[in-house]
Amino acid sequence: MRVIRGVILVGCVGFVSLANRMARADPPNASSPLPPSDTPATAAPASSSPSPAPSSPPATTAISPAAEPSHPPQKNTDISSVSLGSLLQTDVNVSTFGSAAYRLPKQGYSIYIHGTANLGAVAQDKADPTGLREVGGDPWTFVRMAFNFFAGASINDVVFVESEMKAAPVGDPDDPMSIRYAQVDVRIAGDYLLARVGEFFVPMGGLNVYPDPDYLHKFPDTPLLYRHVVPQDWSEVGFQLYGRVPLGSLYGSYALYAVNGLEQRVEVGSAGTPAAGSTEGGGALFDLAFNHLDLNSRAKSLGGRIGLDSEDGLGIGISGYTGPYTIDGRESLHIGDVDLSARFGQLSLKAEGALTIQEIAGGHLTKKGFYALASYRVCPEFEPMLRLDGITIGGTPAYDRTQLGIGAIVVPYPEKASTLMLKAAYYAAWDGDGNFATNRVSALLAVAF
Amino acid sequence: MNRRDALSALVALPLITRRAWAGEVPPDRQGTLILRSLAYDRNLKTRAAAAVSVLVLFRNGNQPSESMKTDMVGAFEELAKSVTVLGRPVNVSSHPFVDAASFEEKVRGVQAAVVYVCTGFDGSLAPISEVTRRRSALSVASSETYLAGGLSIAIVARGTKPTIALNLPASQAEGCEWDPMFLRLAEIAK
Repeated sequence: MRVIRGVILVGCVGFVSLANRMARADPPNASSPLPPSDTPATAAPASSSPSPAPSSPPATTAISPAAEPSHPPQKNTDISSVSLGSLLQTDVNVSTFGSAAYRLPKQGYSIYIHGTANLGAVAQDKADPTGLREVGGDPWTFVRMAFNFFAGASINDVVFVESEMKAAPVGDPDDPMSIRYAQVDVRIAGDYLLARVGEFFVPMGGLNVYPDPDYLHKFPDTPLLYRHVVPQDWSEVGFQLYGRVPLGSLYGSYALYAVNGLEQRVEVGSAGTPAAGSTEGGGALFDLAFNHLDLNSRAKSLGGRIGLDSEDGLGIGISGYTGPYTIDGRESLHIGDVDLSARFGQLSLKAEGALTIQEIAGGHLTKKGFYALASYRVCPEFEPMLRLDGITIGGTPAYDRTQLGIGAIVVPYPEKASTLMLKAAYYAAWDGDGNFATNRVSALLAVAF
Repeated sequence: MNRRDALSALVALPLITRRAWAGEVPPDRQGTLILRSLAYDRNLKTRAAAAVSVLVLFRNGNQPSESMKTDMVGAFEELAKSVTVLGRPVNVSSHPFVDAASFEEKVRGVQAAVVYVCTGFDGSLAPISEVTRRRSALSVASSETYLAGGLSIAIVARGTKPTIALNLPASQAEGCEWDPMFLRLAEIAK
């Protein structure tokens, strides 16, 4: 930016000086488009040429000969060779790019845009059951796991506006970017109470509370529970109150929200009515999210999270969610989640367990999932890690998985580009009957910018 | 928001900003005008050292003031790469105003020829102008209200044109002796 600004500036000074030179090339009595000479005797550079006092009549001569630069003004231009009159006659173009970036901060608007990219490859020796993973890996594939843009503004530290646009691995080719959240936060009482409206990440567990779980999670793939027990990258439209309270050396946090909630899409038959079975519930969790408008049921879903954190990395959170999810509102869905984290020097530990009770006609499905992760930062460039995760989807052992992953994070430039990392992992997976299911490898180059 | 709405908003934004911010001059233009004005000060060679030192004064913790400081320092630094004032290079520094004593110490330390006063000092300009007058440093701002508070120059916009508003007595108290040509081009504040 500074380089561009510099180029523009040098160009501006050069242009004005060039205009002066051209004006000076006119016959002495020719009318000039520029204002009268305005360079004082003392304004001349410490040059060899003497500088007679300006005596030219107004509106006839552009500038006194004494002010004429000896070479085109580029580097090391003396400012006195530039006509002040010309500068004052040049429009202040307030609509040029960058002017808002200067002016808005003066009113307390701090505007930013940044992003994350997670790009790599995934390979697996056998195909999983349909829908088990977002990116299957059989056949192996390059993958744009996520390419996200965040744009936002802080207004006098009172109002905060932020949105994330995401290009997901599987997207609509005609419209590959989708909004993952678009929210406005208003500070009501310090850090104790803030209100959030719009579309926001549902505060569920220890990962979905942050923007871009794909980037923040240490492994290249998020645990399977974040698809089948808790929706992946789960955002909802609604209203939330949240805050943070100091409790001695700890911090307590809370979030309470009301949202449109998860909803099972209805398949419409040829007669224009819901297809048989499509209103009975039991749909996969990852298919229920992004219900931006409640068109069928006026009932809203409720949830919350409480957490306790310390400065040295200890954290525990309990989350819950409940609400109807079928279009007639007869069946509801209840999610509970506990997350833990701890840090001991270079050793990081994370764990989470989630339970979803999904009502269906005549009963319910119980979906459970967990993960436990340990990583150790051997040096700033290298962090090996181990993860165990699994899911149990009620009554379908073929979909159930227990997965052991081993991997590492390589940070090639920990000082110059600390957000650039290569994440690679191997996973061995077993199904619900204990049979070995798949070998899987994935590698992502991830960077935040 | 669909694509058409987004494009409409983008098209409308310049119109909105033009209307909303019509009274201000971008930092790079301010910097150019300030340095160009300095060349009309017949006392600059005695007021300035081997380099023309520009000190940007701001208020810590005041977000608009800090943002303005960042922009003005950036603008002056870019200028300093390519221009000189009467053969002298330009140095740029900044200082968060805490009290008059530390401010004066900074002005003295960097031998400031110009003090650019950022926003955030409404009603508290007296200690600043006292120092700039004692240290013979030209005080500049981007608001005419600061001239009434005792500062010397404000770079403001009149319609689409930039204007140099000059508080002549204040600038003389700060040791400036202006070339008559400058007095013709500047707008003398009443």
